[in-house]
Amino acid sequence: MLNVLTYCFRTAAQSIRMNILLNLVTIVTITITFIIFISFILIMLNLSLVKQNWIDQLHVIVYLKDDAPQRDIEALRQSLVQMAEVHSVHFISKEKALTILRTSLQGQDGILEGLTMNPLPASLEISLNESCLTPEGVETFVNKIIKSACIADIEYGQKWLERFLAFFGILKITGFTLGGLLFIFTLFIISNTIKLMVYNRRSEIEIMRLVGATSHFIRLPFCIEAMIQGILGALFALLFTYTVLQLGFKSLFLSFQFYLDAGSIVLLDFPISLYVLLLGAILGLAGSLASLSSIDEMQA
Amino acid sequence: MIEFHNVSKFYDNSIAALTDITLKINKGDFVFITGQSGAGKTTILKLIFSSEKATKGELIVNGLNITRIKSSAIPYFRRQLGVVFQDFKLIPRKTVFQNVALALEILGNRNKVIKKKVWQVLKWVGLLQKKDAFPPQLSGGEQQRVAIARAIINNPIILLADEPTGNLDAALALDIMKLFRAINARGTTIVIATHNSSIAESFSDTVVSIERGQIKGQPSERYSF
Repeated sequence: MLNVLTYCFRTAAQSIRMNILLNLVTIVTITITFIIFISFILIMLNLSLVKQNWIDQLHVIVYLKDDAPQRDIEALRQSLVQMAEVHSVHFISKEKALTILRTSLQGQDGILEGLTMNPLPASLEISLNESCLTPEGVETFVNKIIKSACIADIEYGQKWLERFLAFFGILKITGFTLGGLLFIFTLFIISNTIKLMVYNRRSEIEIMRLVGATSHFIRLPFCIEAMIQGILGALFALLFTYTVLQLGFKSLFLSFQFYLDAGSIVLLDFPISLYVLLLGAILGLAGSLASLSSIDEMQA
Repeated sequence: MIEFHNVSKFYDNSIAALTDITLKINKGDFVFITGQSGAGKTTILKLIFSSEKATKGELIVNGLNITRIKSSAIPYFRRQLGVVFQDFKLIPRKTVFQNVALALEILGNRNKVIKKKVWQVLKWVGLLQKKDAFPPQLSGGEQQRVAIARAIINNPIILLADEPTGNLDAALALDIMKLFRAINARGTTIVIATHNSSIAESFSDTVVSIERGQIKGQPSERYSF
């Protein structure tokens, strides 16, 4: 078995050497496809982190009436803390709210000089548990608490959350569709290359059948050749993407991290690279198998 | 060794390539199948080789009924046979050594074993000095010797040859026939299809004449040269 595998690898390597131009064109095409795919994966992964980070930071702000008694506010706070949906509740007094505003307006707090009274209401800042952090979950929670007499208004960024999630959903569908099309394209390229090689070597295949070679023995070098094309294409794509990231686009990603408050960002790491290489090998194998059925028709 | 029992072969358009062939070839026989072009000589070899399947009748080769053989079993059956063709059927991009070694490589033999056997057989056919040459660099007679070397390297029980001297001149044809004679002397059953009846008469123990897909008379036994 080992000797047969050695023969097949040797034959595949010889074929690559003999058809260097054809293999080069195929590998370059696969590389370009994978560059697009890897770029899209990185964007999708990082946007997914952004989404999760924003959702994790999502708060429900309950604005309290100015004339609400302190004991009623405290009772409300206690009841909220005990609710299953709630992770934590923080009370922000009118004075603290004004202080926070002054801090955020640093350098421009002259705007507040003319104020004779504090217009800001006290509020309860509610963090929800992860299981409720969906537009539907948040809305259900809000509907539960809105009837309280102390509450003047509730804000939870419903509009932007829905829009962002819808945008992300569209992006995901686009990503999967694009990924699917790219894979089909890659399969097509590899399949056609192997078909061409089988056609070029049809006399040799006939002779191999004459001396008793099985279909598997004949097919295996072609499969190995296609897998090598897939792996090399994926590898060059990884190297290109890594180089581009190192040369300058890394700073772009890092600013993306800052402005969108994305938390940690995902760049090319070992697991992702390994999956990409594995995908290259699988695409190569699938592409070759799709085109090798004609070998069975080549009877000696 | 080879038994044809009322074998017929029809192609799609109902043209009969062979009709009701009954023939027995024993182990160690050296048999010529003669006839004009289109008589059915090659079809007989193709049936033995399992490149075609008989439409009617049964064909037994070395105890195996190959009219019922599964497609997946054919490669393993063919490893017991050696085949030589008029057009040599060598792989031009492989050296003489590699062409002959192919029959051993598909069996998964180790490189050491392959090298030893290929050297032995190339020496036997007189082509060891050309082991690194490519087929287009060889003469017709040399290419046919390479094809014969590949055919016998696995010590086949049966060697089939379809017009092996068709592309060769008389002198070279004689050399090739002597080689076949030597292979037969080692115990291999040989079946050669040829339209050259004079060669058959010079070399054969048994001559089977085919005309329009049928055996003419009884296979004759001739004094072998």
